[in-house]
Amino acid sequence: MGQLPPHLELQRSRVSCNKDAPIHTESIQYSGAYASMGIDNSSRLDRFSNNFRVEVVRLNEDDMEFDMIGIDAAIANSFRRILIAELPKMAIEKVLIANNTSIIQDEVLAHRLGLVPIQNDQPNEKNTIVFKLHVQCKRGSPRITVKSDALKWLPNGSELVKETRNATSDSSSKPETYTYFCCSQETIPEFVKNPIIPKYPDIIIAKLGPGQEIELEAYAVKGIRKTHAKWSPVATAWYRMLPEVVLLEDIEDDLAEELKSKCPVNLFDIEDLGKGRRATVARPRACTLCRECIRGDDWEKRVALHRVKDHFIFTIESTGALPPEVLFTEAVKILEDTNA
Amino acid sequence: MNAPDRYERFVVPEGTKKVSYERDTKIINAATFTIEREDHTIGNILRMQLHRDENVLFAGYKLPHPLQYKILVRVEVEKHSRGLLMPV
Repeated sequence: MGQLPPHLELQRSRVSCNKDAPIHTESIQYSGAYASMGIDNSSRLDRFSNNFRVEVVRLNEDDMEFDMIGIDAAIANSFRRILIAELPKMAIEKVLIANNTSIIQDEVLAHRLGLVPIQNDQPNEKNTIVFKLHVQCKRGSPRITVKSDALKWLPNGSELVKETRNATSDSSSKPETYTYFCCSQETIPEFVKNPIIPKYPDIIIAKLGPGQEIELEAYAVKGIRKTHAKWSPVATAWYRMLPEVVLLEDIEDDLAEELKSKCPVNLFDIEDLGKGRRATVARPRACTLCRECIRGDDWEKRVALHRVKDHFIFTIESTGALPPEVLFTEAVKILEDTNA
Repeated sequence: MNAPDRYERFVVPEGTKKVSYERDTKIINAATFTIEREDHTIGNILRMQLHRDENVLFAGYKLPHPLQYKILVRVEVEKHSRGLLMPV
């Protein structure tokens, strides 16, 4: 298999970012595109599996940055869309308000509770999580701020009692509550190790003045973000293509100093050659494509900005329910499921 | 007020098939697949993968309307290959 001539290879694998607009942005997937040259552009599984790499750059508890090399933009975008929209998560959906004398309206309070992220590793249709919030501000005491650590997990289910219509019910029968758990959730092994709490304890939910009270129960269910944004397990997820900065001619001395001072992220370095200084590209990955280095006359002939079409730098910021690497593997499984 | 429910974006109602197939009357070896309750997430990948197949002459997808949750994928293959399987 021969190689494409360099200008065609540039057109096929790089997006050229010119001063006014990028060109060659489409990915040339048609397998016979270079047939006249004798080059086979079709992609086969073996070639893909040889070339494809994932390199993790940074992995924290809440966010992660990694590189995917060798895939197409359509797949990268699908992963991004699935990470944002189709990964399931638990969030508060139904709120039973027993008493709310605060100035926050019922529905606003319920909306705010829905957006609180809950730390839970396994969203499961069978497990509804019940929270209770009971805060009271006594007369004469200063204002209270209700924060999310006031939400208490009730492993035994709901405590509010349903009103039974039947007035002649047996007094010995257990009063009916809104949820019926056959055993306390505390005994389920996953929950023993990680009790369910809101991820961040200092989210302000409401503020109470003296004499006001909030008493409610909230049920969290599993859902996906396509239904409502509160079920999104990522704060956001985005990708960008790897930038590539090429110096078309040797840039020396004063021009090199000028180039180095132009770039706001300092990606050029000056190399001392003894008889002169020369500019080199030190950190191309940091390029934000502000195009400062090609602004002005003549600079376009000296510096060329490209992006590599199949190298994606993904960043995932999780809201905390699941760690980001788990989120990505789940996204891959979902893509596999929908295509199977 | 007139907005459809959010779950309509991915829940296929009873009775409708997820994928349906209609041959093109005017062009031989061309057909349109209608996939219910999907969007660009699947459509773009399908289109990309179809482009990679050597026997495919034409492949494209569109969402007829952003509030109607379905995609139409139109494929035309060469005369000698009549395979209708999805390349995924």
